[in-house]
Amino acid sequence: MQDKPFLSPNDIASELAVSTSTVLRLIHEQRLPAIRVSERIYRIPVAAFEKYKAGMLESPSPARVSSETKRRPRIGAGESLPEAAEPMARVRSA
Amino acid sequence: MSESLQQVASYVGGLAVYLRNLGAEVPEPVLDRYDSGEIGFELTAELPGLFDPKPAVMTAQEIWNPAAGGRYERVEYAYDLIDYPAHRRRAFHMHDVSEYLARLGVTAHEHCEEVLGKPTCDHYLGLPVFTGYDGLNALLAFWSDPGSLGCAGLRCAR
Repeated sequence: MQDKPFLSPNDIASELAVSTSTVLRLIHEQRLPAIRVSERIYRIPVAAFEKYKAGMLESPSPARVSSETKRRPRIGAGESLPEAAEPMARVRSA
Repeated sequence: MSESLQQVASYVGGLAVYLRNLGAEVPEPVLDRYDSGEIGFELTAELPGLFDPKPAVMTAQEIWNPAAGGRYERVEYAYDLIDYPAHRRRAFHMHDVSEYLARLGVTAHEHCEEVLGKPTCDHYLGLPVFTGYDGLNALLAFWSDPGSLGCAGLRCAR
């Protein structure tokens, strides 16, 4: 299993000896971490499944709020701004 | 949609745990206060799996503006995946909004590099990403798929 980076719900079902629908229920209830690829396709990183089996999944907790003020970062710094689009391109993108 | 400071802090903490539970290495998140009166954060996650030449890295940056009633609204973001093992990049951005609106008529744009560092287009037209969870999950879906990123199907904004 270790050479395969992602598992499907079917793989997990085999590993846990439960049905695929049980695995999907665990995913929908957010008890088993999974990447939602589409409405019907999920991928589970092996590392996430190992955490699940070991009971090592974390519960969300609030981030620390800094007591200090820092300079506002510039998102997208280093990225060049685009040239203005042709008028027709703007109309089509509206 | 506006949120209280505590709600934003919970949201940021939730994003970090979401990535950690998927096996990523994520430092303790901090919600920063800026000299502009805004708040924001930057999360960096090293994704599990191949580490050659180094692990895939995902970053999430957001800036929230003060709104009425002591609440905050998300006004800028950047969700980036640099998949070093697969040598490719995908990103969803919304920043410099007035500039992009004036030049392209859109607020959000995307980046897509089937070969890292060799984009065929600098900016692709994008749709706004509703939350950080949506942005990160979409990037994780790309990361989990060894196939094409689909850059050729996007609309280049020049």
